[in-house]
Amino acid sequence: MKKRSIQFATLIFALFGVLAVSIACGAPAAAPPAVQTVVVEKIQTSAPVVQTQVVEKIQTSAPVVQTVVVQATAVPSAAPQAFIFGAQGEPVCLDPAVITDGISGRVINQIYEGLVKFDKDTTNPVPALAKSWTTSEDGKVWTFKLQEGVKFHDGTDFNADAVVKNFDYWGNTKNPVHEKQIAAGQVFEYYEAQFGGFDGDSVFEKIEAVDPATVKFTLKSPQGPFLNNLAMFVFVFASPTALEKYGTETCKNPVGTGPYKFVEWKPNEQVTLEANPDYWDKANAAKMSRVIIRNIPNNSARLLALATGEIHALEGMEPRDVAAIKNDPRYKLLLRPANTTGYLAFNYKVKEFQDPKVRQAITQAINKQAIVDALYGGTGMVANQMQPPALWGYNPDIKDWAYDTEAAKKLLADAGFPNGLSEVTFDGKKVPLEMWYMPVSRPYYPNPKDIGTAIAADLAKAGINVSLQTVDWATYLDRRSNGQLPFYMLGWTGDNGDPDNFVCYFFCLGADDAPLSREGFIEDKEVSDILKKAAVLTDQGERAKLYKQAEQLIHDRILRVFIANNQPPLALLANVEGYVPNPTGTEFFNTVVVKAGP
Amino acid sequence: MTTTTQSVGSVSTSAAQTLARPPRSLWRDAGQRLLANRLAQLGMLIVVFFLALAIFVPILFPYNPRIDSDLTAQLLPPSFAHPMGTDEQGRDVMRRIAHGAQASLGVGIGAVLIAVIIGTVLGLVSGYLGHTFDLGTMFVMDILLSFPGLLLAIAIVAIIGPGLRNSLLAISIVSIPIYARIARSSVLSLKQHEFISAAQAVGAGSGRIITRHIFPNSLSPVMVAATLGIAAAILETAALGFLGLGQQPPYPEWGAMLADSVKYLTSGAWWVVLFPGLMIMLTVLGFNLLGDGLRDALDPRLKNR
Repeated sequence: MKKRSIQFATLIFALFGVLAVSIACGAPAAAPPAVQTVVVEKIQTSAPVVQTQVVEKIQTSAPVVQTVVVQATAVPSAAPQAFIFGAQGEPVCLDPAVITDGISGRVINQIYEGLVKFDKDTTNPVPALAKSWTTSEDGKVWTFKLQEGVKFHDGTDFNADAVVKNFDYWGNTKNPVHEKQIAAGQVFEYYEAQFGGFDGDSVFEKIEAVDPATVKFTLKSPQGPFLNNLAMFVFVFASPTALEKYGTETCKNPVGTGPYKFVEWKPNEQVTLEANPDYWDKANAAKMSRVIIRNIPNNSARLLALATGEIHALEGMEPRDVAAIKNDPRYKLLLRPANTTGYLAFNYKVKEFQDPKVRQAITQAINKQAIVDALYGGTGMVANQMQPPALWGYNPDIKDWAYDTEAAKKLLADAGFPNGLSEVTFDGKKVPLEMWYMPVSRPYYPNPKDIGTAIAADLAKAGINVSLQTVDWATYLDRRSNGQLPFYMLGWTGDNGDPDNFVCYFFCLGADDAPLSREGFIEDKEVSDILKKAAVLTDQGERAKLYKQAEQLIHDRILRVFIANNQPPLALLANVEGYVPNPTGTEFFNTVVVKAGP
Repeated sequence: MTTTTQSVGSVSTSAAQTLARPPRSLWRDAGQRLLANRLAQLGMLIVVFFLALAIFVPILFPYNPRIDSDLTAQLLPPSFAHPMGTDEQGRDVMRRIAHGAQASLGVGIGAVLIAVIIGTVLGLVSGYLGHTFDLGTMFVMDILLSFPGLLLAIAIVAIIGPGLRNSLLAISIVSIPIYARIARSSVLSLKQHEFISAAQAVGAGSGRIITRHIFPNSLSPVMVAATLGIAAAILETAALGFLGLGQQPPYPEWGAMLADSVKYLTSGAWWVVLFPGLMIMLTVLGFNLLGDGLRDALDPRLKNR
C-alpha cells in the first residue's frame, strides 16, 4: 500500500512535470500523446528519486516533439485535393429554409445560391442567380432578371418557376412540403422574421414568374432591407424536384446550384462536398476538387488539428492563442470585419434599474478598454452603441460615457444608495443583485466568464456587488426570452448588414407597443417609433439619419450597456489562399485554394 | 474500502487486549505507531500545513475577491512579486490558492463530517436493531451506492443549484452510505461478543449499549474511512468546481481555478494550471498518507512489526 502511494505520487508529479514543461516549451503545438505515455511508463518502472530525472528527460525530449510537429506541416508535398475546414460544431440541417445557425449556413453557402449574395468581405448585395434587377418608384415592385442556362445539381433547370416554388415552400403554410416540415417540428424562423410572417401576414402581395428568366415580387409596403434580406444565407434555392422527392429529408439531401455539390454527411464527423463540374459561372467555379467541413468542438483540439495539418483552416480560438497564431509564420490570421456587439442588458422589472442614475453608475463603473485589451486577444474594440462601426447606421458622433469609478459612486449615492447596491427589488421581491454570464463562447464574448468576472470586479469597485450566475445555454436563452434574468450578458452577430436587423430587433416595441419580455421589458416608445419608421423607408440616406438618431437616444438614456465589438478571428495554414472573411460569418469556399506545402 | 473488514475484526481482539493490559490504551498505542510512521508523518505535515492555510490565511490576510482584478497585470509568469504568477484577471495565483484552501478543505472536511455523523448513526442503529429498519435503511444506502459518487453529486447539484454550500451538501449525501455500511458491519460483528451479552444481562438498554459499548468500538474503522474520505471529498469538490457547479466566480476554489485556466495551456501560461492542480494533488496525497498510516496504526496485528 505504502509503496503504491509513493508510486502514485511520483507518477502524478511526473505527469505535472510533463505537462508544465511541454507547455513552457512553446505554443501552440502541444506534445503528441505518444511521448507522454512513454515517459509515464518510464516512471512506473523506476524508483522514488525519479522526479528530477523525469523533468530533465522531458526537457530534452520536448524540443524533439516540436520539430516533429513542424515537420508534419513542413514536409513539401503535392498540392492537396481537398480544402478542410475545422468548424466549432455539427450542422443542424442542410435545408436552408429551416435553419438559423451559422455552422449549417457555412455548408449551405457552398451548395446553394440565391438571387443575390454578399460581396466578398462586405454585406453589399451583388448579383448571384439574378443578373440584374429594377425597383418601382414606390419601392413595392421588384423585378429580377435571372441567369439563364443554370441547372441544379440534379439536372433540374433553374428558372423563375423554381424561384416561385421555393418562395411558396418557405412562406405558404398550405404548401405540402412546408406542411410536412412543420409537422416534423421544423420552423421557418428566418422567413417569418425577415418577411413579416406566413401567408397573408408576409410582406409579399404576390410573387410571379413573368417569363422563365424574369421574376417579379410585389410587396404590400416597401421594405428597406429587402435586398439584404434576399442575400442572407437562408434564402437560397433548392431544386424543386429534389424538394418534392426528399421532403423532410432535404436536411440530409441538399441540392442547389452552387459551385460545390453535396457528397456525404458523416454525423459528428464531417460533411464532404465535391466540385460541381457544370457550374454556370466559370469565373467563380470551385478551385479545389473537394471541400471537407470537419466538426471539432474543442478549441484546443481544433488548433492542434491545424498545427498537424489535419485541417487547413478553422474558426473559434481562445483569445490568448490569437496572438500566437499571428506571430507564427506557419499560419495566417484573418479577421472577419466587426459585425458583432456584446452588451449588458437591464431588466426593467428591476425597480432600481428604472433610475437612469443607477444605469449611468453601472456604465461608468466598467472599464471597457481594459476588458477589450486584456480579454479579446487584440481583435476587439470598445462599443458605445448597438451597431458596429461598419454599418451605415452607425453614429460616429456618439461620445461614450467615461470610465470613472468615483463618478459612479457619486451617482449611486445620488440615487439613494450611499452604501452601494447589492440587493434589488425584482418583480416586487428583494433579491441579491445577480449578473448572468453566458455559459458558451460567442464571437462577441469569446470568454463570457472571464469578461463577466472582470465586469463584476469593476462594478464592485464602485460599490455595486453582483453575484455572478450562469446556467446551460438553452435555459439561459429561455429565461432571457421570458424576462427572468435581472441583468445579463448577451450579444448579436448581424445577419444581413442592415441596421434594422441590428437595432430594431432589440429596441422596437412589440405588437400594440407592448414591451418585450425578451428584451427585459425595455420601453422607449420614441426610440421604437424612429426604428419602425426607418424600417419601411427605402432611401438609405433617410434611414441612416433615423438610425443615428435612435442610437444617440439609446446611448443618452443608457437603455443598455454596450461593451465591445469583435472581429472574429480565423486561423489558416500559410499555404491557404483566397479565403475572404465575411462579416456574417459564412464564407464562400469557391475562391479558396490550398497550395502545395512550402 | 476493502481493508475495512480486516480492521473490523481486529478491533475486537484489540479491545480484548486492552482489557488485559490497562496501562496502554488502544488509542495511545495507535498514536505512537502513527507518529513512528514516516509516510504518515509526511501526510500529517501536509494536512496540518493546509489546515493552517485554510484557518489562518483568511484571518491574517483578509482578501476581497470581488474587487480583485487588474487586467493590466494579466497572466504574468511567476516572479518575485507574484511567486505563482497571475491569472487572466491579473489576480495573484498564490493568494487565491491560499484563500481557496478554505473552500476546498472546508467542503472536503465539512462534507465528510456530516456524512460520518449521519452515516454512523444510521449504521449503528440499523445494525443493532436489525429487521425491517435495517432492511429499509440498507436498501436506500444500496440505491445511493449504485450510482457513481461524482455522478450522483452532479445530479444533486444540478437539482438544488450550483454553489459551494450545495456542493458540500451533495458530497455529504453521496458519502453517507459509505460510513453507514462500515458502522453497520462493525455493529454486526460486535453484537456477537460476550461484553454485549453481559451488558444486556445487567439490564442496559439499547441506547446505552449502542452509545457506550458499540460506538466506541466501531470508531476506528470509521475514522480510517473518514480520513481517506476527506481526500476523496476534496477531489469531488474540485471536480464539481471544475465543472462550474461548485464555487462560483469570483471566489477562489482550486477546482474552479483549474477549470478557468486550462484554456491557457495552449498559449503557454502553465502556472495558472500547475499550481492549483498541484495543491489538489498535495492535499489529497496528504490525507491519503495520513489515512493509510492511521489504518496501519489501528491494526493491532501490525503492532510488533
